[in-house]
Amino acid sequence: MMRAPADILVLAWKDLRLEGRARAALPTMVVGGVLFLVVLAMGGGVDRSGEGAATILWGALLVAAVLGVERGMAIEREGGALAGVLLTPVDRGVVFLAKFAANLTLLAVTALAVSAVGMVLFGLGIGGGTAGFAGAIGLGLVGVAAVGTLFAAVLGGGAGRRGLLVLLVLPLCAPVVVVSGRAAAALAAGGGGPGLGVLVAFDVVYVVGGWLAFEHVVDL
Amino acid sequence: MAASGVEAGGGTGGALLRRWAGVFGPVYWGLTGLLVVVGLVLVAFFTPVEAEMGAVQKIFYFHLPVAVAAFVPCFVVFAAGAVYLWHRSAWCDDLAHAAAEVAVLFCSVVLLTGMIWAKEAWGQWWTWSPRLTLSLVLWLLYVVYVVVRPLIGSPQRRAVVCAVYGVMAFLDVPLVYFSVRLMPEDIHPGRVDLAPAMVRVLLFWMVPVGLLCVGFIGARYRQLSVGRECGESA
Repeated sequence: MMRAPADILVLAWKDLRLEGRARAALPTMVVGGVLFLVVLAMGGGVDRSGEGAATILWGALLVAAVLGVERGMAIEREGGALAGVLLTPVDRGVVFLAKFAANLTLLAVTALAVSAVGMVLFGLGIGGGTAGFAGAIGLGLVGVAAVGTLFAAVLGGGAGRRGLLVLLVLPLCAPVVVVSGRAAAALAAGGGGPGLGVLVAFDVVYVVGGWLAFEHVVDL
Repeated sequence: MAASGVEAGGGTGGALLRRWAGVFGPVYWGLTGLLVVVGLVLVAFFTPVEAEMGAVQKIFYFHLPVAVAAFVPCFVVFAAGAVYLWHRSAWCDDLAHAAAEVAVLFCSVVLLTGMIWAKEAWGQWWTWSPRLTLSLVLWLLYVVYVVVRPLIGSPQRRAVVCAVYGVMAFLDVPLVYFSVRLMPEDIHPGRVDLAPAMVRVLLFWMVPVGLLCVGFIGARYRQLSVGRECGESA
């Protein structure tokens, strides 16, 4: 148990280094997110206020998250790396937390890139409360990364299961997105963040739930 | 691996549950039907007509009990999913499956009756207020549960995925319930003051709606349980 934080760091760093070499998930995530923005903008009538910015950003981030976790887990299964990790004398909950940390890092990088593109190309207005806006979106990302990581593992491999991840992850992330979007918009406008406590509660439950459930649900 | 191996027989829990599901016969449904008819008579003749909304307000006697009862199948999906992950008993998977279908039905009724109410009370069929949005999310969560189930070929994998999903989906229930307090901009009132006659009829409706909810879960569970014994893939 004492070694758990070190194990998490080692495994998460391993995933990030692999991503740095293979560039398998991050480019897909960023391009997927930006494509979402472009397609939305081509439709016209985009609300560029704080609430609109949060909604648009969340749409792009959900696309990126699903693409990223699915791609990352598929690559690890194809190479048999997941089997190797699961056979190591490390608690499987630790494996979940490491994968969650790696996915969250990739999502945070994607969020920065997509937000920058959104602000430059579409003039999305976040207003004066940039830190609050980013904080609310960041809290939401924690929940999304936890759910995405867990279900990418739960679904297992196999061509028949592709496409199911998006169906499972989107509705589970919807409450987090609703609360995070509203809080981000309110904070961007300089007000208080309604429901931030709820968001933290969701994050804790999703992360702890994933940590506890991973051992019972992950399969080679 | 931990994910494999479903206890097909169901054990003591499965046997008890099947005996419980046997309660939902003609007597049960006859009594429930009678209570629904009595409830309709009470709503039609023994409740005052609301001054502003008129007769449409009477949908409230049905909308609120169904909304409360909708949380029951959601909880059953959660509890059965959690027990499945612990014990890997097939009856838990069947019970969660049955409850998820009833949750879809009840959430659909809540949304539809709510929309009729909203059109009369607020002049529009739908608003993106927190409670309405989260109620729609709740409906979507269980619709996805029902839609995804048959798409996963392996029975063991399907049961595990649905159990984890069902446990996590339940988190939206307290959020729906507390949304009015947590996000005060909600169009839903925090509390409603009703005349005593209205309260009595409203409380009466909780009984037939509750019986319908439990009965649907039990009857569907029995179907699924028999289907599993006959080798059908759920």
